[in-house]
Amino acid sequence: MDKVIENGQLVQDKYTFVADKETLDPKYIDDANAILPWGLYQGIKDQRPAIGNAVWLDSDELPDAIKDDLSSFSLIAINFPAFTDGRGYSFAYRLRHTFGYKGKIRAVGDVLIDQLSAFKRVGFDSFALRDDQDSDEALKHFSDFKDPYQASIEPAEPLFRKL
Amino acid sequence: MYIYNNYDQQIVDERVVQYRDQLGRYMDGKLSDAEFLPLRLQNGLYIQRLAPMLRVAIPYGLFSSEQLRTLAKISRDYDKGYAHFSTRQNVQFNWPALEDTPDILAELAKVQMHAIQTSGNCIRNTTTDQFAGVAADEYIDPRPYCELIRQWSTFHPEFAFLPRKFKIAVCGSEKDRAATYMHDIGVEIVKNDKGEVGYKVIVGGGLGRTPVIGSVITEFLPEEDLLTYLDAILRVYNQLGRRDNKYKARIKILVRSMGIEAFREQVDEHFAGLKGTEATLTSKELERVKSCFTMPDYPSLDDNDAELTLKAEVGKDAAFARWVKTNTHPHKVAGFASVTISLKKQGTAPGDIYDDQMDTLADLADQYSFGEIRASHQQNLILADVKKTELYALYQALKAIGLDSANAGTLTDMICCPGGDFCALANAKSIPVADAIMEKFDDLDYLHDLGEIELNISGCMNACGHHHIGNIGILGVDKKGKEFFQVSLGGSQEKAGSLAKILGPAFAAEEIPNVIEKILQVFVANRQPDEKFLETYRRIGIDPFKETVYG
Repeated sequence: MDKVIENGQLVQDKYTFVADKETLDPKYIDDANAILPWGLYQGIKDQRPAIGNAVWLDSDELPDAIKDDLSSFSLIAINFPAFTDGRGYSFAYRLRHTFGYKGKIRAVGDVLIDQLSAFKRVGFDSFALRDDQDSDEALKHFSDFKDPYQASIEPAEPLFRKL
Repeated sequence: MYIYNNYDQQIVDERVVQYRDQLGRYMDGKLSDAEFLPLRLQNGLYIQRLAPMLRVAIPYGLFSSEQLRTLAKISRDYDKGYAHFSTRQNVQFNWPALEDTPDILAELAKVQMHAIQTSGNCIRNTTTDQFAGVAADEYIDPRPYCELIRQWSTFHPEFAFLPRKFKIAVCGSEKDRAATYMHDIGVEIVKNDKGEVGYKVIVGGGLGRTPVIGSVITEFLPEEDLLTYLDAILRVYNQLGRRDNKYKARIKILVRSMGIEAFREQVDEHFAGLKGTEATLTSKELERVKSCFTMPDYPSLDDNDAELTLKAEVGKDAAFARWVKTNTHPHKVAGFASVTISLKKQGTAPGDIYDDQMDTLADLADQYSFGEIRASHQQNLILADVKKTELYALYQALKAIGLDSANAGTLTDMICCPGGDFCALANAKSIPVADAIMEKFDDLDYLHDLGEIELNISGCMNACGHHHIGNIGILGVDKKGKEFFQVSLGGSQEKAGSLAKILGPAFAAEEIPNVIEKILQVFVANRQPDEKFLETYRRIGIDPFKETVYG
């Protein structure tokens, strides 16, 4: 099992990330701890429990697609194929703000130290760093800015409401 | 002007710490070139042909004499003693050392300045009218709204990795001096029938390789909804904008491919979930920011007396008379004028200014214009609040430091990008072309007789020199490894704008001054009394110009 960052610390992760979007290895059908590609999960929905599932969205899969299934998930991972592909920031924000999703949202893929504080602000609360990243260094970068200007998920109020 | 509170200061200070750490990790090999690239770009740092270039933000073009002195000091201590004002109302240093950049940022932070988001695929510096707050044709001062947008866009967590760069311009006057239809978003401040303040919002305009005039997305947005509506537009763009081809990644391509109706529908849907939420502007916040842009304490002056004094001085000094004609502008307040300090002079690249000139100019701003300066997107500097009776003294002081070019708004007040002399993207060297034009057309009486003409030069189709919206546009192109220049006519940056049409096959650099001369001959031969170049062009069309230039 790999480690991920949650609640400001490095923790062992119980999940297995299933990267193949084309064909599902049958061993994952009953695996409650598999993070399945959303497309493949849809095909086996009936064979899965009603709650506690984990799926992942790629950067070209809008969260609107899963909005009716949110109660089935305890974790939604959003893939960053490249750290410069910023779609996932809006996906996380919308899952929280527009669709009211309360489970975990994990950043996976090209997840780098310098993006963590923004990830956290738009609603991510689980971070699978890219393998080569220094996790001790990473923990220092969650709050590079103490009092940001804008409203997002965290904080939900813009700075000007504090003045 | 806006003065930082503790929070504003904390954010720029935290940025210096963050950037210093990032640069340190890059120097230690912990960040690759590709990973450091967007981090440094979001801080205005380019690696150019010869050295890094640092672009410092001048939010909506407004800065103080103290800030100008700091820019002078930075150019002296860390650069080669000059700075370059860009078409985005920003300032650029062409020769800083990479390892000095955190110290430069720390110097800037001391005077409430920064380089945040002056480059990269994020929301850039918001621009506006250089005469904001003083223009005679202004309905509403755009600067408080620009500052609100500055704060909202600074380190917006969702929009740091957009498909492409994103530029917002704001205007609040009859004449659009901010080219709002040529921006990713244009905000025009308006009043509705009930007298309530709001915004007409334009989306999807832009220059670059595919110039597009923006579309109106809403005719009237209530004042408090500005930031949440911008959030909605950006959210649609961030999710749906193309990322597979950087030449098709601007919002203008998305708006065009969806159609404005479908795009508007998406924005409305997102906005519906935001309207009235805590992200909405409060009247308290609007008041707080507006109160930073109060009118200076103008003495009450008699305009007739001021005009008489000025007339007498103009009568004695023909050079001053010419300068007054082109470089001073009407002001809201009796007895006052705004002054353009032209940074267009033969032998100096358009927009460049030396450190000692900056220092003197800072003193002059203190003495004659309430200590404030503005940068214009025409790459000039403005002293916005000068007493008419002090214009002559100011002019003489400017003359003493070589900043008395009496060409504002004329042919030689060119907009010009840094071009192939500095920029790694350019196809062609634009500065020598500007200089050759400056040399050929050095007769001020002739320039003044020609009247208002906008001549814009870009070294490549990225269009930093805004060639599409020049009355005369010049674009550097590469043909089999050789530099050529394509000429176009009829562009305009006014409201609803117009894009220039290509005249015909491109020319070698040395031919350009003669081509311009022929174009001007056609204009002079065809113009009616008091007609401007653009008006004549629109009346007679492009053919007479083609015939003379290529005939």
